[in-house]
Amino acid sequence: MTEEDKLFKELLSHGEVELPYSDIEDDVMMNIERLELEKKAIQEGYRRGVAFSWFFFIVGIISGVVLISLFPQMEFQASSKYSDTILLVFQVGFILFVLTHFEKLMSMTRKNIMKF
Amino acid sequence: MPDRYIERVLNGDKEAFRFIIREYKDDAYNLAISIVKEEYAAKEVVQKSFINAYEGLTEFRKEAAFKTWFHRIVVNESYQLLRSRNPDRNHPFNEEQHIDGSKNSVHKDIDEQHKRHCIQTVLKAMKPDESLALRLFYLYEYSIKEVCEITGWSNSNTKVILHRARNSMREKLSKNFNLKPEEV
Repeated sequence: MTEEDKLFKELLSHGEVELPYSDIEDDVMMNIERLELEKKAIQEGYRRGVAFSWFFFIVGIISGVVLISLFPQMEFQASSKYSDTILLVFQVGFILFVLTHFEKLMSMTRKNIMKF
Repeated sequence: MPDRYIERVLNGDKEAFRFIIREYKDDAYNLAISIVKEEYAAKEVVQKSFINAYEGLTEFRKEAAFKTWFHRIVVNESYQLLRSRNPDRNHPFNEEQHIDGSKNSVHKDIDEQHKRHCIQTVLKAMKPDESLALRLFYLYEYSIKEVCEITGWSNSNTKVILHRARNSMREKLSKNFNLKPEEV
């Protein structure tokens, strides 16, 4: 350390000030408490959201399966010759819907577990 | 020392963060006031910095010292506040207005309190970058590399700022208080 460095170190030591607000510790802790509560509320909401998503996803699958199994028994007078095509489109759509939403739900659940 | 408390906070003991606040609040305030120059704004910066540190504690990697990591948060927060308040100017005030009229009224055997007053007034009147560089390098004894890490400045820029800061401090001490650094 050079003489100049020592001199400036000495000078700067006189420039040190104490924080003039004694309430800072409590203020920060209060803000942290508030943040934690907000986080908890978000966490709870997210968990509930994921649970609801799974519930309606399963309800959707059951309804879809029931509809698909009932479809051949339904009588469509106007479009009876297209009924096989309609059923196929419906089945493919249903499978695509299930696969994409299952993936989304899985990633949401994984995030939920990892985050909280 | 802070590692123990950090560990406790990470294990869910929120109250352990109080020890970290107590330990680092004055340093944080000194850094913040170097940049924002106003007491209340500095308090705001200190508060925000502690909250950010608390929230980011899980991401804090222990290969860096907590002090350096936290000082970086304070510096970033201070510049952010400065930018939001004075988007067009880096230096928020006219430095001449902030140096009081004690010109030529100081004897050479000034007492401790007056010394403090002179240095603090001069630091307040300096540009944020310069007073910050002086505090980091001389007061907290960071190396040039660490100053770069905290401020985000390049190595050469840091050296230039430090050089200017020393000159500026000399000049202000002699101009406003009729003092040379050697005499303080």
